Amino acid sequence: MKETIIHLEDVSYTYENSEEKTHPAVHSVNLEVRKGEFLAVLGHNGSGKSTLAKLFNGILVPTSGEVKVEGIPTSDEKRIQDIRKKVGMVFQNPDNQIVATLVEDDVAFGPENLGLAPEEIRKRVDDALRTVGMYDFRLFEPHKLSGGQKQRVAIAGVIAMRTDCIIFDESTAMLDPKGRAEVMETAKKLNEEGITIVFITHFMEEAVQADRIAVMSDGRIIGIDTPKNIFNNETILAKAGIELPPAAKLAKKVRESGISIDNGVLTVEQCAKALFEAAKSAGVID
Amino acid sequence: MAVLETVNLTHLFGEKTMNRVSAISDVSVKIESGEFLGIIGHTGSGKSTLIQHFNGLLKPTSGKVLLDGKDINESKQTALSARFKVGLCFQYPEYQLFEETVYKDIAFGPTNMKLGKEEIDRRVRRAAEFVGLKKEHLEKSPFDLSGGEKRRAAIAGVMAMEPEILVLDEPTAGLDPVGRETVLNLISDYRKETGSTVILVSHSMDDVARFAKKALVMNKSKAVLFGTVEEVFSHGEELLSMGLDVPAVTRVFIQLKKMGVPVETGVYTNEQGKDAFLQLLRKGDC
Repeated sequence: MKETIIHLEDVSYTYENSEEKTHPAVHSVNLEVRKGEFLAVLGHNGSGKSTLAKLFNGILVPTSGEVKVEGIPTSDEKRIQDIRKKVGMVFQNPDNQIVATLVEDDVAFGPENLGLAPEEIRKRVDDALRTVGMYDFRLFEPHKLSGGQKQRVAIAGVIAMRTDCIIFDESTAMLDPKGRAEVMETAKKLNEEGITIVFITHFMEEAVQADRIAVMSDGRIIGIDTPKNIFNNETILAKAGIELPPAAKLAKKVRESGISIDNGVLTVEQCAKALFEAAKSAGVID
Repeated sequence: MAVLETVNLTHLFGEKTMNRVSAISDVSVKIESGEFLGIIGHTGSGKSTLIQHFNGLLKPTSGKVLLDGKDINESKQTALSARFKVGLCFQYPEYQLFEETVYKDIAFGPTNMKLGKEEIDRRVRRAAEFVGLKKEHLEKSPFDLSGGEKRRAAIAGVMAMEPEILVLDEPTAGLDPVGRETVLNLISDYRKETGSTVILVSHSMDDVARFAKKALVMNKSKAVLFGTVEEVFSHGEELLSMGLDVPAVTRVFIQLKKMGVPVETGVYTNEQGKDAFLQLLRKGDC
């Protein structure tokens, strides 16, 4: 059993000025984010996934229930800085989270606020920029970067805080395919280095790369499991209105024509491999 | 006859400076009346610059834009009439909503066209119906709508001008899968019902494959491929090398080919993929 980094116990959140008072944005959610895992959160606009994200590091505090980050409740105002040092966040719009006029100044913003020594800040900024592959751009003006590059600078800003966990709140939604791939690759690399990743998205192709997927619908988590099990669970897919990843759709079509294809096929690579095996066993290729 | 045509269209940014860059270079395309054209290309390929020439927002550095055979930059009158004949809907158009009510916002374009009150009212209601906004939405402030509704209200504002050619720049960017389907379907229905020419700028090859009949691929400021969707997608590997988001099924077939399976890589829908694969297996039987 892996250690838990973020623990949600019966968490509900209702926006105060919401017209429908009785309808919480997040409803009785129980969830354990495991240390070192890559957890994807899927769900429609309005399903509550962004509200959930903001509950993870105390940007929002639950209306009822409790969120604990390594044992510290997010409702404990005195310790909010400790929580933010553990759980960082990358938002959707790359233009809304860059504050400085130089890339390296932007990344240094967080560590400077921690009151660290200048040498330590320098080291953290350089390390962080190298990790996200933006070191060569350290003296650039952020507005001259592409969307994917800006998001990588935002990620560097979080890494420079040396957080244990990073929440990506639809950080790929406003990017083009290249930018999306850059952000996804960066997240996977950080995960390999031991950082816990919570990746909120509505792109199936991104979600399938996670260790586990949590599916949200109408404020509740209606399923949490491996990508394979989630995408083979018709009930969950139908309830959350989630489609299969494109490559899995092709695999399903071929399977329905009577060819034996494993139902764990979710990615392009897996699909090509499965079709290759099927062609081989049919004797079409050697 | 071509309703819109560009002849050797070239646009340089910063023409008189050291940092001269060509945003589009020598683009010659003919768009037929009633056509559904998809323009594909990654960020910075010149697609947005290209469409801003279609209604005279940008003036060519050299070359021409012909609307119904006439140069739109010939006189003030031709330029003005191009503004009304070609309706341009920008990326994230909901950021441009500004009126007190949704009704007034949709009416903004027709009002500028100096139409009569009744005609404006007819157009506003018709456009609202096209995008699926109800009567009660029209009296609301645009800022009280959901994200998807705002997007549709903004599109209705352009539709209400009843342009001959409707140009949409990334109308589905940032929307979730359900929102994307809704917007694409309403655009498709609008075209069928009004017979207008529709030009859709998109990163998503999947969307273009499903909705457009013809496709134009922009890369490094040039029009590199222009033809029916089938023709364009038969260049799968080339599209992939331009950093475009080729449909998953196409990527599966490109990989299969690399693995030594004798397949064509011009497939772009799952149905075609399934058929092509089954055909391959049948070859093994005889």
